[in-house]
Amino acid sequence: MAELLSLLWDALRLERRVFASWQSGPGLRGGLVLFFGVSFLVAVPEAIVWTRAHLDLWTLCTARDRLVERTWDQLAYSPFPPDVQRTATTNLAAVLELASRLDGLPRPVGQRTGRILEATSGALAAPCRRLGLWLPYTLAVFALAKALGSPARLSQVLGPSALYVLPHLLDPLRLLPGLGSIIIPSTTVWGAAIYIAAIEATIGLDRPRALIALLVPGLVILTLAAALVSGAVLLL
Amino acid sequence: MQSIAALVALVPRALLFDGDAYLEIKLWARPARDGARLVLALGAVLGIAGALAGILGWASAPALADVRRVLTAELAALPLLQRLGPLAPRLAAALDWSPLWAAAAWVRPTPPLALMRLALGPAALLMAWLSYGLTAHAVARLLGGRARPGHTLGCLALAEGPRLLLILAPFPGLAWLGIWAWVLAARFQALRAAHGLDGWHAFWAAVTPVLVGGALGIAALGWSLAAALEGVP
Repeated sequence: MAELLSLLWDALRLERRVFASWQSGPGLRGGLVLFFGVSFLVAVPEAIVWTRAHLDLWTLCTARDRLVERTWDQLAYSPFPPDVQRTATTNLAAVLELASRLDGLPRPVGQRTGRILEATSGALAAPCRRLGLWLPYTLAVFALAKALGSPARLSQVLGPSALYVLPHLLDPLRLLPGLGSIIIPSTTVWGAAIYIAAIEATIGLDRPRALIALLVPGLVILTLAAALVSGAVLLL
Repeated sequence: MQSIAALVALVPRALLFDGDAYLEIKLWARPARDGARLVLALGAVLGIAGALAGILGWASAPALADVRRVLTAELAALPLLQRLGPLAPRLAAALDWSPLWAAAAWVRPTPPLALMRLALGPAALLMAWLSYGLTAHAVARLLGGRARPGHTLGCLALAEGPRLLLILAPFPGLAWLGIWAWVLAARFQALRAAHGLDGWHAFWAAVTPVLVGGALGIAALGWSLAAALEGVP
């Protein structure tokens, strides 16, 4: 146990040798247990807060207004003309209003029990939702690395790369007042750094080719996302 | 014929991408029959979990009829739809399209529909396994694979193991992308082990049936949507 904790601590400090040790020790099985365990642990407090917020109409309306305000502020820095910015914000407010009307419809077991069931189901599915980002991305990285000549096997790469979830143990701290805007970007960057170090250490390629394999899928996704967001803003 | 315990014991190994698990099932006397039993067992478990999840989902969420009523009444008034000009009423009417809501009723079923998942779970998984397996087998043979259909089907049955995660995430969303990716990666390994293909040939054998199915699905969806928009006055 002490050895495992030491491995996890070293992974958090981006010690490269830890990823090779993880391959020969806990491996993919350990990586998956850690991945599912951390993802579920993080989801539980968020589910509790979500349920409480959705049972309190005032909190929900405040959150909705804040989201509209924040979008308005962020669009002010975008290259879109002012009338497009104004229309997009008006539309967002209208869509959120419609969503909250749908959300407030009666449920067969009542609002309170319905929300609790919904939050429980969401928390149970949280590890699989995280899997929906990590696994397809890692498979794309792995396929590209293979095309670039990597000798690694899939399980050798997947196990250590799952260690990226470790910093996300801090994610529930975002629920504390004042920490919301700091925690998620910090844990995301920290997790990404662990992921990059893990792939680099286990993929068996030199640094430039490893970075190509790591970054190309991300660039493709970012380009598609930017095109989609721009299209949506212009349409709205 | 192998015992169901021996079959189930291979599932965790396949989940962990242990290629030897596929080689083991390939050595069995009747891999396709054993594979079919494994798929049916998996389908039965998923059917029970799906029925329970469907009933709980029905109890905890607003009724689909209410959601449809609110959307039909209020969607056309949204400023973003009004910007679309003459297309707006057509789009709003298309969202009230009955087949769309019939499909939604399968995702968020009422209790009687949810109970039908008990029978439909195994049947759907069996059909998906057979159709994918036979297509992938044909592609693998074209790419130089040497396995018999029974070997391909036996190995691919084991690759359906990651679907067990659907117990945790029974409703469509991002989670399904991860589970689907896991199944696809397992199918890649299964085809590689069954046919003795190199990595890239196994990759194309695994991906081609998905691409063909995806193209057919998109074409069918596009055709149905076009027909729905045509029918709207």
